[in-house]
Amino acid sequence: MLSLALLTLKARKGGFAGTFVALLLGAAVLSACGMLLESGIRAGSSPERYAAADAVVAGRQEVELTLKDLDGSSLKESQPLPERVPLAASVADRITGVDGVRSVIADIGAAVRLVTGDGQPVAGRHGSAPEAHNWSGLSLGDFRLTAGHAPRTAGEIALDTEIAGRAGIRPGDEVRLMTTSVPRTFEVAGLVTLKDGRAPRRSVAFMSEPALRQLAPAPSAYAFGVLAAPGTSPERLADDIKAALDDDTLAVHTGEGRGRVEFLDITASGSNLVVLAAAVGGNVLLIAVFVLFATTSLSIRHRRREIALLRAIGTTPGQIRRLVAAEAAVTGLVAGALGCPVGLVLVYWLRDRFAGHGIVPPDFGLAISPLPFLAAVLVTVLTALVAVLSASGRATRIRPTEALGEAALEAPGLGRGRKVAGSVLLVLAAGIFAAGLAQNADFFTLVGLANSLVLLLVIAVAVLGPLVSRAAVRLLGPLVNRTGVTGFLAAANTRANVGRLAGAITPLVLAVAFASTVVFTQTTGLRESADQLRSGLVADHVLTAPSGVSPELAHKVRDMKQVRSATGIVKSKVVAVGRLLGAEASVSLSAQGVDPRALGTALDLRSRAGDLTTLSDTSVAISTTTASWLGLGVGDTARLYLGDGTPFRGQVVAVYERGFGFAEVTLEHDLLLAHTTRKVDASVLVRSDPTASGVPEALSDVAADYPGTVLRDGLAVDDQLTEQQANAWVNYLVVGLIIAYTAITVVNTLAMSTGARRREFALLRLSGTARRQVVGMMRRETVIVIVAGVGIGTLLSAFPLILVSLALSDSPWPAVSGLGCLAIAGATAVLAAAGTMVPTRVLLRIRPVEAIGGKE
Amino acid sequence: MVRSWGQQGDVFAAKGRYAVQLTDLTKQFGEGPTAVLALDRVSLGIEPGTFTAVMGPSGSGKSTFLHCAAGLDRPTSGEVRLGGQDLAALRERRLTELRRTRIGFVFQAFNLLPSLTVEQNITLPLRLAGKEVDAAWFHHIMTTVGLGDCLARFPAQLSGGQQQRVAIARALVTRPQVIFADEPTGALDPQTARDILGLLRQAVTDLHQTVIMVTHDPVAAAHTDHAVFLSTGRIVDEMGAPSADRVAEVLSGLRRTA
Repeated sequence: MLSLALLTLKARKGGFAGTFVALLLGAAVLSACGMLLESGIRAGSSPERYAAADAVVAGRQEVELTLKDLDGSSLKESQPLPERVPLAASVADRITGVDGVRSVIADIGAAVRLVTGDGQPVAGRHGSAPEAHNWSGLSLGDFRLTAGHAPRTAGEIALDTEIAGRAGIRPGDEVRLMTTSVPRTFEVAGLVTLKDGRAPRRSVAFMSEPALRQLAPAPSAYAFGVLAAPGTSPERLADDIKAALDDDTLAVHTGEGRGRVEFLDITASGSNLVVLAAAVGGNVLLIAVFVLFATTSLSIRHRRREIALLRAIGTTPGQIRRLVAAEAAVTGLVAGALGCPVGLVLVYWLRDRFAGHGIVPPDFGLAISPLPFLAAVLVTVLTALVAVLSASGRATRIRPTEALGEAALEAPGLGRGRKVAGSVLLVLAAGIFAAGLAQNADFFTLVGLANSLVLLLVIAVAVLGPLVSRAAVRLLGPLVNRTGVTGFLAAANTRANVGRLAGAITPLVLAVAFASTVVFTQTTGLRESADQLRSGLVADHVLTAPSGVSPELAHKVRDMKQVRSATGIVKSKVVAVGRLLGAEASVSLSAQGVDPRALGTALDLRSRAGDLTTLSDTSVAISTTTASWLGLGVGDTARLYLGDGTPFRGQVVAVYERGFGFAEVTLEHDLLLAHTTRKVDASVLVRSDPTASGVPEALSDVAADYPGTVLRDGLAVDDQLTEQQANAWVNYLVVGLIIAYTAITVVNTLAMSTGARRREFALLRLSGTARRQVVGMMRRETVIVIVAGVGIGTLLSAFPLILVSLALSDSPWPAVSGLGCLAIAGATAVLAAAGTMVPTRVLLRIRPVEAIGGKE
Repeated sequence: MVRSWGQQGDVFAAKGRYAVQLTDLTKQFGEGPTAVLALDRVSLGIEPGTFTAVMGPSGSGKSTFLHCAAGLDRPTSGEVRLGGQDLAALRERRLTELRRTRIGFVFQAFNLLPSLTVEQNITLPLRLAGKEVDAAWFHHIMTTVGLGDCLARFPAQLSGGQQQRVAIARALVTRPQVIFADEPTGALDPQTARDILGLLRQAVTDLHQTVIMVTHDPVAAAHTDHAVFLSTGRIVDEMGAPSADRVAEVLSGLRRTA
């Protein structure tokens, strides 16, 4: 069968083109996702400050939750923690006693901001904040003093050569460093460089421990570095330490793993990347199977007579199935192999985009191994096989007698099975719509509901295709009919071939409905967020700084006489156990810490139940979405894990509505602040006394002590939405891929069904229709297809969009931009027009006498 | 020889004597008031080594007759025996295998797979059955049909007559019990048609094959040993050693009555 399949493939390249391109794109995206997945899993950077430590002990950056499944069994699930897990000083003592440990050195650190002597702020490498560390920890890493001398007093520091060079700082110069308070002045005593001379990944300043304590009141130990006694292997040492500690909130790292503790940003973005890559890859796989099913059934339909002939001369249904499977496997293999290099280009492009949206650090390195390519080829071949085997039912049902008769006539009407299936799908869709409205779902669940709703509707239209296209013809036919003889022909053709028309309309409906749903769901979400932010912010002044505002500033501002109320806002995430369809799932929720006294005066979260101002460090306020997600109401006890893994139990004092724009969980400011890594506020919200004058000047005066602080008269909504915009961007990426896929189906379907009309065109021309008139006829038919496809697609997308809009904002009107609509409809129309008109013109170039004599 | 026609299904005594034997063959399309009776209790025995024409005006049931007799379609009732084998007793898979090994087909058009060369097309049934090609027999067929020099060509590079020769060669390659031909000359000019009919005649005379040909062309029928006439699903006439004139006469009579 394989050799036969190869021969068929060779002869019928055109028929397999659609399938091939779809598979190639699939292989490219899958291999790219595979590479992202692997990079995410293996994410890490070589250790720098820990490079000389044999083992590094740090807090485990994830929390393990025990969840109950649907069937009552329990399972464990880990959630990554966004903040650095604190490390108790007593851990060091317990490590010291372990066999093979020569010494234990604490690495103490704090994120700082560097300002030169003349007040210029200097950004760290790759745009992240520089870090201050204890000089005694220098021996854990590869840094060496290359200029000046070691910091000896509490007023001296050593800077890394890269940042010093960039800022023009030399030993003996003065710099100012600030963490959570006003800047302090230090003298640069010396410069340090990595052993091999390369620039460190993160800019660093070393100083004595007393100096560090002046800078940050309670600096935390990031990790304990362990140096092994001679003759002890790091792995052995790590195992012994692990056994001695016997604590699963701690982790012991060796080798490259040490880089993961040193650079938490890479580790965190790694786990994000894993989720993203899995989501994008999964979506694409789903669409790929859908599209491939369409392209393969189409190519089988166009080979009806060939297959019927094979059946007549004694090919068993099994042999036909093996034939199409072998064709698919070969196509999949070739497309898979060719898709991999495309995937390689794609993954670098994606990495840059991800870095641009802050999903990964700018210097995030990709781990490229042969595994993703092999997996992509394998999955591509399997996808091709699954698609072709599910479509081969059609092939094996072809009766051998069809080889004898004239071209197979379309079965008129719709089978009862299809009518029933279509109705069932519509009922299901209605069910999802109702369920989505009834449940107070979070945005991600809503997006999922909207996508499944539109998918169901599109499948329903595909199943009821002939019915739908007949309705479209009834509506559009008379209009086209009025445009002369070509219009008359076009109307007659579409009327007589509703099946063919349905085949052409369905992919357009898929493209338009999917694209509109995904794009406008995101724009609706963004609009709602922005609306909540704008109406929730009752403060008239906002203080922000690029890398955070000192918490002191909020206190100082609050004490000003011109200010009615003020609060610092600190942002983090909390982990909780939610409930979805009876099964428990761990969720990561956005959290903010605010001063309860400012709630209502500077920040209006719009309380639905309870009293927000009673918020204390033993209680919590949650958004309506979170309330339904976690099954909590006012008076219940919420069990949360704060960003650094600390368990927290608090009574729910209020449920508020503006969680989508601000944060899902609101905690008392100082409580949340204490459990963040950087211990700074994102911004300070200020509501001034209406009678006071000169408020901006007074605020600027106070802020002047904290270089880099910016005064605004409102929240920069765009800055608040970066995360959501990054999210929206990932969704647009998925849409782009879906559109690319549907484009393949659109062009493939239209080109193939136009190509099959070679005899018809020849006949028309032989009976006196001018070439121009045939083109005119096809143009009108295409208009019917485009208007019907775009119209139905838009109509279908209205349902999920109304659902999302109603669920988010009580208004049924989604945020739809005319330009976006036009772009989606326009792109689809151009594809459809190209798919029909190009083959038409090619066919018309063949002399009609030849065309009419030729075979199908 | 056609021993019997009409509706006397019970006269066949010696089963297995015929290459193809049809008894009370009935085929109905659709149900209820719109049902069409395409074959109405047709009985017919065809002896091995004969060339038979099945004739009739359009809508007489010729095609349905061929489909049912060749195991491409299942009759509503009645029996089809190929050699001693009752086709109704076979499941789809076995029926397909039987078509592959014991029946040859020549259709009016689209006989060949465009992606295969002439040689590959001819040996395809053997390949499907997983059998070796008998080189001597293959050579013999090739000399008979006269295609020796275009084995490596593709169907699109051949004339209509050459394509039909390839189809006949493919039908012969498995040494089938019977060859069914469906209007094999319908799309050919008279001269080429004559050559193809001569070739089918040769298959019967020299290679001792049994050929059943459905046609509406009296000239084609003149090449056969016997002609059977169908009208509205029944066998209405039969003729030994038919000539074109006599066949045309019967056919025009049938058209008038139909």
